[in-house]
Amino acid sequence: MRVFIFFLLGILFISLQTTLFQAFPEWVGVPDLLFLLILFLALYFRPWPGAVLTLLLGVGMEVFSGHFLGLYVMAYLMIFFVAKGLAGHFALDALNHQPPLVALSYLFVNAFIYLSSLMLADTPLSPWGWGIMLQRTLIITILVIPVNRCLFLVMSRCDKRPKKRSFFGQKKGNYYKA
Amino acid sequence: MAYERRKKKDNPVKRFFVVAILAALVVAAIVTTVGRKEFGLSHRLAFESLAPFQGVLSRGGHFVSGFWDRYFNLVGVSEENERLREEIKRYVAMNAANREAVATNVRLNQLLGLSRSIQTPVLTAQVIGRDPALWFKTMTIDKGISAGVEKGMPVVAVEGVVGQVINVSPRFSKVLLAVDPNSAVDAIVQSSRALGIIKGTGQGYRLDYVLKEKGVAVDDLVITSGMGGVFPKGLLIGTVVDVGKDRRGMFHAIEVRPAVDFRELEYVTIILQASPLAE
Repeated sequence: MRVFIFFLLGILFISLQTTLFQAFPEWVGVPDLLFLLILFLALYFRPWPGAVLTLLLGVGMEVFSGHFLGLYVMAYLMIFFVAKGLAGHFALDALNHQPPLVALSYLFVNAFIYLSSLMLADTPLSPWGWGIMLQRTLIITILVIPVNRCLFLVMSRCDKRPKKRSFFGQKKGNYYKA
Repeated sequence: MAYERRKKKDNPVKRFFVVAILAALVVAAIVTTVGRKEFGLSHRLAFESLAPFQGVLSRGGHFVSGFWDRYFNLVGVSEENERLREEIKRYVAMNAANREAVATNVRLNQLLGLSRSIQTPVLTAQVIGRDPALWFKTMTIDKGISAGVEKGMPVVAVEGVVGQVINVSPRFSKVLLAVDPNSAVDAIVQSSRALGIIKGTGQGYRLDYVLKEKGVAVDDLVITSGMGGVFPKGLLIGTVVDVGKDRRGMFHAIEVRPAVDFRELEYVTIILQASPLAE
């Protein structure tokens, strides 16, 4: 259930980034909520459900962004496993440690996609654009803590399991106290 | 209990092999996909599944912003302003077409030849999504294979050239905008008839391969030449804003401002002609 809910959240983030967020002014940019979700999956999900979700969301992102397939999937999976590996040795799940992690990994992912596209393209791409790239990095660094808190809330709601009842409304198991 | 002792023990070796084989299959799938531009079955399925969400959010956003603009910002003034803007856009496009028609007429009369006018069917589509990345300029429209759209078909707007269809699924298509660096459109300067290639720069255009002996001036209109076989002749691309003064080289360095405001595009027209370059 948790995996399904987060998959739907990923689809919502992709849709928002490609539609409503495009109307934001240039100086605000387009907050990359999907990237924050991928990092959240890396830090708080088990490896295999998280990796599968990352793969699916990467495919979803690359059908709407860029010309070359496979780049977003590779970049997101790399970040997922690197963050997962680092989380085992450092206290990355503490919220106050996440802004620098988000900033560095966001720059790494975008650099990977840009350089790969540069190598695959027949013609030069637009310039890298340090100004706007740092601006977007700053925006998601600011957003990481509130977004992660919201995702925690969603995860905790998903993890609450309802009590199992029989068809006739009776509770199962021995509920008589000794 | 006896049945608890007979519980199967977890076999870590077997689990390792299963995970390793699955991981190898996934890596193989990714590696064979990297660098391709054509949508495979999985990408087409993802495109077809996710694009409706874009459509819903896009239409919702337009409705809300339209509601606000129309009912809270001087209704009458807003409507008149919109009407006048549409009229101006129409007249600019007509003016460019008329100039081209006059120029063509003069040349044909001089050559005593015949011109062939092509009337191709067109299809209107709504823009439902845009590329969020910094360096790629693509957009999603809500018409696909089921409406007759094919890869390579040109896409235009009232103001001028928009781009070309690069990927299609049954109900949606992805369009490469003409301002994308991967885009190239055959062009001609309307006044001097200088031929060149319009390349996207991310924000605007650059007109390449125009020989220095050809006169090009600021405010000259650049239109499609029809030579690439993709865009029909005479469609407005943009206006010259700068002609480089570099003495070196054979060609001008010309900057062109797009006729189309790509950020404000809501509806586009697809020209339903088979492209000679489409696979």
